Amino acid sequence: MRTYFQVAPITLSIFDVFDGLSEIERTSVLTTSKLRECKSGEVIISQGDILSEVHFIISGTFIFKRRSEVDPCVEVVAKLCGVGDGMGDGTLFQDFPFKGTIEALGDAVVLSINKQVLSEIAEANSKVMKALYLRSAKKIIGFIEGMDKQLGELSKRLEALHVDLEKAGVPFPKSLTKTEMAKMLGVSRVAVSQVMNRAPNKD
Amino acid sequence: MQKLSKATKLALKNFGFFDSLRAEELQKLVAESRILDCTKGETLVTQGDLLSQIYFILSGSLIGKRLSELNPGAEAVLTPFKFGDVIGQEILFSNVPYPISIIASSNSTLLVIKRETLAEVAHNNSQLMVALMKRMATQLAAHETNIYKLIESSFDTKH
Repeated sequence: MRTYFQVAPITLSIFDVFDGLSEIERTSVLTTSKLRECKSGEVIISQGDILSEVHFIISGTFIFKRRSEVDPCVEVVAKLCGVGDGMGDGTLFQDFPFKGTIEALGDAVVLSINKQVLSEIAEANSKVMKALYLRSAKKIIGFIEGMDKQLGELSKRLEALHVDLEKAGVPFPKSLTKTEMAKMLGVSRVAVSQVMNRAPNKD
Repeated sequence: MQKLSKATKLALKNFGFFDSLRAEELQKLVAESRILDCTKGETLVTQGDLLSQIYFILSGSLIGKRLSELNPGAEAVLTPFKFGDVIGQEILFSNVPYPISIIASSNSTLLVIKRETLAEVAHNNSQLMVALMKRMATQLAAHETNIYKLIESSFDTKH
């Protein structure tokens, strides 16, 4: 069950995106946005949704989950979003299906604003546009840096497989194809290839 | 010099991003732009560089490589850049170290624009900003897909 409240002007000051609003724009945002109270476990965006609203977190934490397209039984928690974060702001000028599901981790409050209204304000106000641009840029850099951790995890599993095979007297990796290794680890061949390519050569 | 300006002007016009530019904005960008030819294997950007230029790919292809900070010596190859792609737009308004190295995977031609000039023109031209935002949304979606695939592949899907 969701509860909606009218947005107080001071609420907008929490977010850099609304710093440069003119009075008319501020009124437009206040009249078209709403505060939404989310209960723990409530889903605010579902994977595949085409968004009509962008959400900014005022309080609480959300988890970003992604269901595998290869194996629908697999669902991973990709990241946590907290106060000040935007959800869906990266899709402002594009209508991509959303990449994951966002769920409230505990009770939370978000500011929800119509995507079209925010797009129009951004087009008319360069400060708003710049703030949104910087947010998207930060997300991209965050994803690139986040690859390190994920590749590192897979690297460790490959090294463990290496040790296990050596103990069993099986040479590694010459006798195994990447597909075979992927099957042994329960991962994709592409992921094995990526890790193998970046690993220093070992005799 | 005049020939170079003409080529640059043509490149700017052909790129699509710059359709909305007014004559004086176009002139400003042309004055701060140049065409760069890269040979296969040449490193255009090194990870950690502070970029003073933004690159628009006119022909050829380049790859992005991320050197691991957790496992020195190891590196991940990212999605290739091709015609129409932009290198460096993430740091247009924030001069942070660039997170990847960019290497030409074939002979390539790029339109190079001074970062500060492009930022200034974009700041005053909402249509250019929307074009850049759309491009960035596409890029964000590609990075999201890649990292989720990587996360998924770190889990044993057999059980």
